[in-house]
Amino acid sequence: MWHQFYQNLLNNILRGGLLPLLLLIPKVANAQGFYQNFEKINNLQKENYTNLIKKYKNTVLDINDIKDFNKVHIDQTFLSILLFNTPKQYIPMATKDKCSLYDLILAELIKSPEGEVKLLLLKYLDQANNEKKAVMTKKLFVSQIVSKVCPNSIKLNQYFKEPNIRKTLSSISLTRPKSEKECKTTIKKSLEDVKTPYYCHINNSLQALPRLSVKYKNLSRSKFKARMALEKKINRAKMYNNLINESSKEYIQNLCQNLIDPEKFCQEYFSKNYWSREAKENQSPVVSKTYCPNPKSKTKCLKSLSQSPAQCHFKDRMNSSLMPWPNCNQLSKSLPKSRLYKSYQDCPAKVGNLGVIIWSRILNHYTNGKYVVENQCQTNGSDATINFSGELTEFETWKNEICYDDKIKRKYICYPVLFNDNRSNVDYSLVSVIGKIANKLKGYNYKDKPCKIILEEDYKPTLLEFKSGCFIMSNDNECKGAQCKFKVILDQLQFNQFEIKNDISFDILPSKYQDENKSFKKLYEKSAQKTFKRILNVSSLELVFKNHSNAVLLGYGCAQDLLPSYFRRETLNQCTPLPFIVDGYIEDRGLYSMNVITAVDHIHAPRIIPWSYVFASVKGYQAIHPLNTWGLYAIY
Amino acid sequence: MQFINQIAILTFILTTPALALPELKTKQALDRLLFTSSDGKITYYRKNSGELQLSLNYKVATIMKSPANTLYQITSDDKEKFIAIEQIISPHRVMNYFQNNRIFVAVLGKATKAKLVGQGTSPQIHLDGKWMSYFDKVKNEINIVSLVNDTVPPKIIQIKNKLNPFFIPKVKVLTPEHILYTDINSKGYEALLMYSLLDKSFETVFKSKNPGNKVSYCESSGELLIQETPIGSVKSSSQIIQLPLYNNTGFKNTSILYSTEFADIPGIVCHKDKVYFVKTNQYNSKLNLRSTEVAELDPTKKQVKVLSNMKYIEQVIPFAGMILASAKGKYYIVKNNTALKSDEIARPEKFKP
Repeated sequence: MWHQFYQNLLNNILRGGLLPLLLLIPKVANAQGFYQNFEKINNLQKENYTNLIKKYKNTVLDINDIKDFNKVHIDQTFLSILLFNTPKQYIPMATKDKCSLYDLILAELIKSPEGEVKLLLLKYLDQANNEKKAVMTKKLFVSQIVSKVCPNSIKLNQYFKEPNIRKTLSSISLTRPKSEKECKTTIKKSLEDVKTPYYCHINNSLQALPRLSVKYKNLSRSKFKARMALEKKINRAKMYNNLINESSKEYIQNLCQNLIDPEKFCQEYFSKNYWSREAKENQSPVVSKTYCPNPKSKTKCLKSLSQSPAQCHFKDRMNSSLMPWPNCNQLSKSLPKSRLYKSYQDCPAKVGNLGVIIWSRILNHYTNGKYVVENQCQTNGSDATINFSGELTEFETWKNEICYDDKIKRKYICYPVLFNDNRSNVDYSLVSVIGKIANKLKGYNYKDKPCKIILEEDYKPTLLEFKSGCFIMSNDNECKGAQCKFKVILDQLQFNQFEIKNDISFDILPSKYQDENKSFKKLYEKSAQKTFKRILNVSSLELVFKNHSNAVLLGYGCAQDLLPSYFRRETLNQCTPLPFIVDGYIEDRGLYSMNVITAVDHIHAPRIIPWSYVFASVKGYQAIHPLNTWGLYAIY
Repeated sequence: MQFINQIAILTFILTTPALALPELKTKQALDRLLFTSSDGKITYYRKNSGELQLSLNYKVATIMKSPANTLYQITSDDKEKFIAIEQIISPHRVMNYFQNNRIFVAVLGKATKAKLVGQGTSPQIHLDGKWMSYFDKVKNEINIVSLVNDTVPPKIIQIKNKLNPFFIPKVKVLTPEHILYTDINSKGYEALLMYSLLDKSFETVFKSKNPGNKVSYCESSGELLIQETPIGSVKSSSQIIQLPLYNNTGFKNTSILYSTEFADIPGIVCHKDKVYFVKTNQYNSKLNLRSTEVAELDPTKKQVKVLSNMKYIEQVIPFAGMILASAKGKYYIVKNNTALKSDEIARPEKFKP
């Protein structure tokens, strides 16, 4: 009888959703609207609970009056209220038999509308065979009823209490499953395992510890009883914390959150392990190369990343991005979610201009890497933008130029230039521009012997290779893709009949009404037929990601809000504008985090940033923006 | 409108739950406000037209005229005699991170033209306005400039950091010859160093335990309070230690004031014998989401008190003699310098319920 009742109740709750609840509380069946109904159900079940307690509170249950202890039940309406308030993942464990329900009560997993279950409404047959109802405290219920009906439940409970718990936990091994097959069996077995409610009890205690500590610290000393109760809970949680290692804590957290979702439980261990999958399938060789550059040890290296997550903090061999990077575990979650085109290397600090970096990433994404050049990180970070500027604004927005005085034409001539670009076949590369000017002024044959870019310290005039030719020398610190100071040596003599201009200035999002059409956003909308949809909340973000498989978000925010651990706010309203791309998201129980690659981050190191940080940073930037622009757009 | 000579704090204590911090409200547009003196009488703010303005005694003066949409950062010395101004021209169009900004100094509250000191970022005034430090992002060096004698050449410290190109050291001039600053070595360890200009030598005051850990510090009555917190991984411990600055050979005399299992958000503020920081209480590794609150550390009692229950506090900053916390794009008052008061206009008698 018990089994059937719970099974039916479970089926109702799980399969029927709100419908059975509407039936349980018929008053709301005629109410209008889903949320309205739910709120009413919630209020009504609270009301029912209070009424039931009130009604039977003064009916004292005399133990001697009970005819048969096996026929003592928790009142069905009362029980349905308790199950309604209990997290749904625990319900299947409560429906096996009577004792399994009592196990959950003992493990404090069953909840009442007031939180902890303190009273129970019982139905029983008295000595005269009359059906009666009475309220009993949980403590009495356990000692007088459960101990008689389910003595093993009491025994089990003792194993998880002082002084036995240390021994119990030391004899239990909570280790991650080794294969997906084993994983799915594990979770099935866990639902049957009588110890599982206690693991979840431990997990709940650990999760509540910080909250309880804060509550305790702020509780008035005069509330002595409440403080004592809290202190007891805190000490118990601290004891669990000391007895269980980190990996076991993670295991029980995953288990208890996903008891009824084996897929999600196993995803934690298998699907999400990006590094192991990459080692096996090599789906993103360019990304893998960033983390494990040596082809001979690549597989072993990739596998080792999940074992020691701190390895990923300093993987930028060019030292050209914000460091430390997230740890390998975080990257293992963010990289599979990242949809931005990233089969190339770029180096933000060597480009220098954050607008150029971010816009080049956007253009490379939507052209599938049209502007990508192998092994040229600075060019990869800027080439798309200089091309865009040339094609759509005739370099009006790219005022990095090298100019010279053409005495024959009596003209001051300027060529747009991409600094640090050593491609001799590209018109605006530094080697081509200097070559062209040296040709005009000195007759240098740059087509046969193109200029070379070298570091100042590498120039050794005594060596034969430097005896003739054109050498562009720079100091690594002072020459970025978007801003550069350099010297030119032409056939061993310094050549300086030119002027360098560093003036890249453009709007990605409009900053003046009158120049709105010159902003890259407007130009791209028109030229590439792209839509820029403003994203104000996570619902619209989810919708865009679902409906447009290639869409990414372009954002402008304050670095101090987006990455508060890296950019410290020293003064009021300090906001360092930081463009970023959102190329995925993670959801967990109604909370969201974004997959973010900022302009200072390496393209292969996306960060998981909570939505609240993204929101605060965009809001902060809006406050300093001349047009008060909300700078978060989905592009598709 | 702009005739603001003190910020008025309107609190909503009655409508907010316990521990919810009162939001900072100002009569003037808060997003234009840059600096307010501790007594609330002197205010600097920016205009979209590019001007930096001073408001004092119901009078407004323009301190600096710059192109439209210029941003400014203003800091002051401890005694509030001078202000350091960083002028950030065209921040929306020219996004060149490695471009230095112009750095100025001005007497606090005086309507005189600010004086150009150099080019860099993060200016700080030290030793009652006698020295200024700023960081040159292009050359990767700290400049220490005398504000009282133009003939003294700037003192320069080249920092070693090559790992993180976006790192900006935190500098404090203790004496004209002794400078405290943070730096990162080639293995990613951040350290607090003391540089002696007399013998051009370095001494390590504190070195982080792990690469990638952030070192923040502040000084209070001859004691250094140093926070070490990991920034690449939240599931690692943070700590705050205390270290006497003087009579402490090799800086070996240290004591741990506080430690926690989670990574707190870097940054500490010393204020009236207490230390304020953002404490992580809970961490959701799936979302990389931490529950953070403002905490107050009493170094003498080694006690930490959580002062908020807002979950997502991002930073704590000193402002106008107060301690503020930023969260979700708003500022909240953690510690006020005056009694909280409302300047709500009383409702006329006839409209009272």
